[in-house]
Formats: sequence, structure tokens, C-alpha cells
Amino acid sequence: MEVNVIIFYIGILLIVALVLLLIALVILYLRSANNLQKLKEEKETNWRAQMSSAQATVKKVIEDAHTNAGQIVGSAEIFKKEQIDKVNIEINKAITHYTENYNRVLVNLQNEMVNVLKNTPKDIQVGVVKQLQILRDTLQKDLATSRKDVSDLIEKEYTKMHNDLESYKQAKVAQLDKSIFKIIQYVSRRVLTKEINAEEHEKLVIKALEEAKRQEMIKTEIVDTDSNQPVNTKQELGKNSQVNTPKPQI
Amino acid sequence: MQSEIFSKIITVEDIDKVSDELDILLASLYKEKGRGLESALKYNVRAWFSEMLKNEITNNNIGVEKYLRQMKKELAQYTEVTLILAYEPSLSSMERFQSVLKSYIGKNVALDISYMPNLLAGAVIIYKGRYIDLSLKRAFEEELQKNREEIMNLLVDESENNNQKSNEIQIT
Repeated sequence: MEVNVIIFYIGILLIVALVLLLIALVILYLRSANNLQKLKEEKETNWRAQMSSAQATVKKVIEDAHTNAGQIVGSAEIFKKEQIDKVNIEINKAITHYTENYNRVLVNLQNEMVNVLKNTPKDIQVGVVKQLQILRDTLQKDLATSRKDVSDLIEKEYTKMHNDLESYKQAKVAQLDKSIFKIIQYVSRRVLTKEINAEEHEKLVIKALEEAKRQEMIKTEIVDTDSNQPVNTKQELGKNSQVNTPKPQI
Repeated sequence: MQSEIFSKIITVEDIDKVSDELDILLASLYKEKGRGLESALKYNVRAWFSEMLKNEITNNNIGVEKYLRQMKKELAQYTEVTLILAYEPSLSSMERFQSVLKSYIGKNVALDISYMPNLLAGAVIIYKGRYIDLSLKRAFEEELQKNREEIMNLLVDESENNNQKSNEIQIT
């Protein structure tokens, strides 16, 4: 019970404290708002005063400017004449100066040109000599190549022609040989034909027959007398088979 | 079979002729009531053949037809040998050739002879499908070919000698 009462009192104290704090805050707010209003009013007053002062200053400046302008316009004629004279002098000076410079440059240029012109043939000469050297080298190379090509071509053609001629010569020689040989044959035949008489012919034919027999081209045929038909030596002979002539001597 | 007629047969043409004549005679045997043979012997075959045949038939006591047929058979046994010669041989030459061949072969031979002058001499022999050139032409050409170079050189030398001689004559 005592505890609850204590808590109750503490609660009341807290609420009171809070209310007091709130009141203090409200008072502070009101004071601040009042101060702000006052500050605003002060600023506005200052700005108006400044504006009035500025207007007065501007007005004074314009009046001064106007006065100065009138003075300037009044002194303009004198300025013009003096300036023109000065300008003329300056222009004349400049013209003189530039003319001199121009002349000097021209002389320099002329000299330079003369030098260039003097040097030009040498340069050209050197260049031409160089080019000629290159051209000569190229021509020499080309000439050497062409010479070699022509030489090769001539050699090739010569070899070909030589071979052709050789072939032709050989063919002709062979033809001639053949012709001569045919003539020899013909003449020899004619002579032989005339020289060989019938008796010699006969002897030669018999000799040929002997040779044919020697070469076994002509062989003895064995006749089977039963059938009267020739038989091969490999065949078996019949009872009455006989050899009509002796076997050829090999 | 022995017959004089065979001694007259030398060439293939002889065989053909005799064979034809035998055929005629055989065919005539039964013509003209048995007198056809007589007529054929008189008019259709050669005189010498007729005479020889008459004698042989008379001498042999076998029948005519059998004799003729035996002859035909004998003719068929002849062996043909072809000889190509460089000259035209005489009858005696042909007989010798036939005789030589008969001795070699061992049976009757009929010659088939051709003439080819370019053989020069010797013979080309064809016998039972085999061929051999034993002509002088072949030997001559072989020899020429063998010595061709020598012959050509001889010709060249001869030609050079002739040229030299003609030059000498011109100088003198």
C-alpha cells in the first residue's frame, strides 16, 4: 500500500514537472517569435534607407556622366585633327619602313635566286649524272641479259639446226647407201644371172636339196605297207612296215 | 605296183593329167557295150599313155578296172614337193631333182615347179607346209649385208682414187 502511494506521488510529481516544462517551452516560443518580428522590421527599414541612398548616388553619377559626355564631345574636333596628322606620319613612317624592308627582302631574294640559279645546273648535273649512272647500270644489266638471251637462243637454234642437219645428212647418207647397195645388188644379180648356166643351176638346186635334207626339212617317210600310208616314227609300225630309204644322216 | 607310166610322172601337173585320163578310162569301161575303153584309149588319152597302158594291161593278168584303180591309188601316194627355181629346168633336170628327192623321202615325189628369176640360183623348197629359202639370192644378200661396210668403203676408196687420177690428168 505504501509503495502504491509512493508511486502515485512520484507520478503526480512527474506530471507537474512535465506541465511546467511545457509552459516554459511555450514562453520561449513566444519570445522568439516576437524577436523575429522585430528583426524583420529592422531589416525592412534598413533596406529602404539603402535604396534611397542608392537612388541618390545613381542620380548623381548620371548627372556627372552627362556632364563629362558634353565635355568629351566638345573636345572631339581637336583630337581628330591631331590624330590624323599623327596617323599620317605614322603611316608614312610605316610605308618607308616597309618599303625598305621590302626592298631588302627583294634584294635578298634576288641574291638567293641568283645563288639558286647558279647552283641549279650543278644539282641538275649531279642528279642527271646520278640518273644516267642508274640508267647506264640498268641498260648494261638489260644489255647483258639480252645478250645472254640472244646468245642462248642462237646457241639453241644452232644446236637444233645442227641436229636437223645431222639427221638430214644421216638420212641422205642412208638413202644413198641404200641406193648404191641396190645398184650393186642389181648389177651383181644381172651378172650372176648371165654367168650361171643351166648345168650350174641344176647343181645349185641339187645342193639346195641336200641342204634341206641336212637341215631335216626333208625327211624320210616310213610307209606302212599294210595301209600304204606314211606314218610318224613315233607311231607304232605295222608288221610289214619298211623304211624305203635309209634314214638321213644328221 | 610297177608301171612304166609312173616313170613319166614328174610334176603335179603330170599326176593331174594321168589321174584325169584314168578317170576317163574308168568311166569308159561301161560305155558303148564294152567298147568304150578302146575308144577312149584311142581318142581321149595321150598316145604314149595309151600305148604303155595297153602293154601293161596285156602283160598283167589282172582286170583292166582293177589295174586302173591300183594306178589311181598309187598316184594318190605321191608326195608333193614345191620347188621355186631361178631358171626353167629341162626335163632331165627335173628327173634328177625328182630322183634325188625320192631317195631322200623314200617314196614317189611329184614336183610343183615355179619360176622366179630373181632368186638368181638355188631353190626355195616347200614341203609338207614347211618352207626353206636356199636360193643364191638369200645367200648373196646375206653376204652383202655382212660385208656391206667393207663394200661401201671399197666404193669410197675407188671413188677417191678416180678423183685423184682425174686431178692428176688435169694438172698434166
